[in-house]
Amino acid sequence: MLIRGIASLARWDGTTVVNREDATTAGDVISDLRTQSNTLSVWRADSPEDINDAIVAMSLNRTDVSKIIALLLDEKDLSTMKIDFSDAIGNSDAK
Amino acid sequence: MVDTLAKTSFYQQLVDIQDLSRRLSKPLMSSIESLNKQMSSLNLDVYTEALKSYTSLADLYRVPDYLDTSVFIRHDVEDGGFIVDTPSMSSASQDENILTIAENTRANDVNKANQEYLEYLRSRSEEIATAIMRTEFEDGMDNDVTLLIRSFARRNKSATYNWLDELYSTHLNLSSVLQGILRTLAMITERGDENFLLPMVVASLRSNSSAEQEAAIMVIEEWRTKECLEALCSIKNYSSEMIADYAEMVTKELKEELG
Repeated sequence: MLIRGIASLARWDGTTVVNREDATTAGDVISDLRTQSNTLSVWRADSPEDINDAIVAMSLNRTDVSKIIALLLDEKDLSTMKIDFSDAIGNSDAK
Repeated sequence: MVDTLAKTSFYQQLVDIQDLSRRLSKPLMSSIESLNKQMSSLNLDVYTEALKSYTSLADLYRVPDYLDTSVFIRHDVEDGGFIVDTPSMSSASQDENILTIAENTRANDVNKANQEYLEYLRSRSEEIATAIMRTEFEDGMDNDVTLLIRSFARRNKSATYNWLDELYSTHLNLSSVLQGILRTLAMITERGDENFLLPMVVASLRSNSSAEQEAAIMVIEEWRTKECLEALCSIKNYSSEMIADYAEMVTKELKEELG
């Protein structure tokens, strides 16, 4: 399972009016999908404990206690869509 | 030589004082004797009452700073304490014994400072509304707007909350400003501030904008009061399924927490 944190629920609101016939989602989600060197970083979790660790890692750069919204992606779905992914060592202050 | 003069001078002072004492001692002793006679002839009850009255007046002018001018204070002679009455509490029969404190300059100073700061914030309203519109608010992250408004609140909380309320009501047609104000509230407010600001939150809960509704629920999640829970329960329709799920999750948490 792969985890990607998002900044706001409303950005992913499917009811938002999109002025493009072929659009699958609202444009605001793009700000939650910023890439670096054409890659999108996610956290990998193989167990419920890993999910908790990933949430702690995502919350470390925050300044205030607030809700955390994250999307869970199935690796199989990415493979089906022919999206490559690879492991990298996570960079967080969590020990 | 200097030492000798000094000693002479001091000696002379002692002689003078001794002489003065001798001259004064007779009339002084006579006065004390006379005073004692007068005291013994006084009715002690009257004397005690007079002393209590004096004490009561003296104490009255030492009004504690925290008391407001709208509060009446009467002095309870029997047990020597103050009884503080708000106007609504005092009956007509009590009014005779109630002493009104004239003018509390401290309260006036506070009101003046609040008004001046509110005027300053009003002068920056449009500039800050524009900044809110252009700022990308992310959950749990401070930004320039939240940092700035938090600094306002630290300086004068009352004026800042008043101003935010005004800013909200003057930008009702700009959802991005409203959600920014709410997201800022979620970041800067403290427990106990909520009842004053709740109308803004309730108004945005009833909005058609999912971003506004989300921001309002975030404020409720932060404040966690019974009034907030009631407001949340009063909303039947949410603009999207995601927001409805979020509201349901917060409602469930608060119900468990508040009983």
